[in-house]
Amino acid sequence: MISLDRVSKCYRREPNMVHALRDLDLDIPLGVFTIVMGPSGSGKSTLLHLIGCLDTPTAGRIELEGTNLAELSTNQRAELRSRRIGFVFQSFHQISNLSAIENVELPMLLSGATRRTARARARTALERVSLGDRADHRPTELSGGELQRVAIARALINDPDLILADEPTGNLDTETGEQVTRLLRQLAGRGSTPIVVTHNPEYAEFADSLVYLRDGRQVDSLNTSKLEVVT
Amino acid sequence: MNMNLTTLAWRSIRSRKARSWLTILGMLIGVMAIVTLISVGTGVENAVLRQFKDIGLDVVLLTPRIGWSSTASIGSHTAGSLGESSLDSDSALGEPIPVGIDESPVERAEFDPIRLCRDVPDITEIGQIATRVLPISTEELAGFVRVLTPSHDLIARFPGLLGGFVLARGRSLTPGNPREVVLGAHVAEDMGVGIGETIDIGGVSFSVIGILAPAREEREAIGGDLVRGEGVEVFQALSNTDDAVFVPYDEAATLWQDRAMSSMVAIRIRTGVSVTETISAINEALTQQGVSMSPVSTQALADNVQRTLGMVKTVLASIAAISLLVGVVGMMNTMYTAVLERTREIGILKSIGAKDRQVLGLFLIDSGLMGLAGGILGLAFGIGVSFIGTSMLGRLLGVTSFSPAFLPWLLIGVVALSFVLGALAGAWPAWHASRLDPVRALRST
Repeated sequence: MISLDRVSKCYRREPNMVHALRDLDLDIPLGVFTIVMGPSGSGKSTLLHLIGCLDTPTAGRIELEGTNLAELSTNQRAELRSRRIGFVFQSFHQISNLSAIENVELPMLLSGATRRTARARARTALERVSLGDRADHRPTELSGGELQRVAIARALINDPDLILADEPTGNLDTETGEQVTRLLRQLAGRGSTPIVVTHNPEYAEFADSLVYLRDGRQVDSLNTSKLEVVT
Repeated sequence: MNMNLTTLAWRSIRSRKARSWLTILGMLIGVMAIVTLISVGTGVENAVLRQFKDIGLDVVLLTPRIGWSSTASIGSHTAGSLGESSLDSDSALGEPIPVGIDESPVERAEFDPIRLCRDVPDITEIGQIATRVLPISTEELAGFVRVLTPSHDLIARFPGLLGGFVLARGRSLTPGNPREVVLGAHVAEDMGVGIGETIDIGGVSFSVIGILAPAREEREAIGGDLVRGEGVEVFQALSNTDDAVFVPYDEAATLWQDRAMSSMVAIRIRTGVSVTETISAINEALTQQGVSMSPVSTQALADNVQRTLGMVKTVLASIAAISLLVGVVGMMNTMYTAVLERTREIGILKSIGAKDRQVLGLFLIDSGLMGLAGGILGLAFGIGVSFIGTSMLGRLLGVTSFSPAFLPWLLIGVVALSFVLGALAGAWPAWHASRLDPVRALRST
């Protein structure tokens, strides 16, 4: 379970303070496919960054299976990201001078795995997203959908508990976006917990759980049967 | 070193080939300059010091002070004044002193080597030599030549002073055969004379009994251009055997009819005694004899030469170090630019679990590897340029037998230093990269 207890996050954007999240209380069960929706500036990405240990809350507690993330040191948060969290970003965030397989094996190399092991796991991960034959291609040689699948493969390589996807379909056409969403949806059935931030209400039908944010606050947390209420 | 980070750093270097090569080039030039200048400088130093070692570092040279040569007479004793019995009886020396001055028709000289040996018991060997330019002629040719009159003991005990006095043909000068001459290699070649032929020197006929092998080539160039100091020129002139002829010391009095000459005395002192104290004793003894000669030890000359060449090497190495420093600054600039350009990449790395120290290490290894590459390539080029430079310098100076000296500490040290300097150049940019906020880094363009 991921629990947020009165979590706030403020940014200083001169001359004002921007409240990205305000006293947010939220429970996200593990093993389900959660979609976070809301308009721009509602705090969706901030929520993902906080859960993903990329950022720390200004106030409140965030617990991952009982561990308060806000109390972790920089190194511990990095360690957590390495072993338990996988990120997928809207703009793919591949390292351009590395091939697909080199990008995918990066998290394993950083966590201390041998090159041989990392390479073997990366190949498996790429095959899992149907990109086994594109392993040696550079990001510039891949389509948007392929790039996002490479990103998913990279997120999966360390078998993380959480897959945090920030607008993963934002740069994809509808068909490819749906394929990527389905792929993420499948992960929920395999022990991972995908949390996907999206603008697109069409993908809400894939979600087991839906979180709707507005002005840094949760409007509602619903299961998919109540989707029509928030859309 | 973390191999995975090294792999990642290597991939990064490989991905920006042009910039990496230019950065490496900056280091390469600096390292190459250091290796070349120190290796060539050390080679020259070794060549010069080898000459001193050939002579022996336990030798003291007495050279005339200014004005002495115009007034002093050739040093020789009248018959009986320096006999075997007198040497044998000198218990302080413990062995016969090969003074090298036997019977001579000229009057007693002011300098008395036997008396010097008695006054300074730490002297074990003495040899003398005088030199002058005299007319020389054969039936077909005539000209002037530098005539050296070494005592037999100087030839036997101090051959290094005469460039080794290595005979190519014939035999050496022997006691009791006064009208014999040994020719330097160039003189023999220029005059076209061989063993057994007769030549006229200063109006006296001499029979050619030997021809020397060509002298070691570095002597003239190094001696002429790099080394200066009291006593150095004298023995450099002596060691140029190619353009000289050698007649017995006994004949000097015959040839030096006006008795004005320059001369040198070589003294070997007992092993283990203080050179400084012995020189003081020699000075005192010479003063008592009323002889105006300056003693200088070959060790002091060698130290002087080494000090001079050391200073030259230091100056050259300092200049080379500046170029290395420029290379380091260039690398620092490259690394800082790389951090700015790769900010988003740093954000990606952090988002997938890279710790701050891993990001720090990644950039340090990145710059360290480029430094190392610059060091290794600079070393390789430096070795090559050292050989080429030595060859060109040798050709320019007419010297072919000295070569660059590659000191092991220099070879290992310069490569290690390159890696360390490279890493240091990347330290601040790497630290900057490691401190980047991952969210901001991810949002950068």
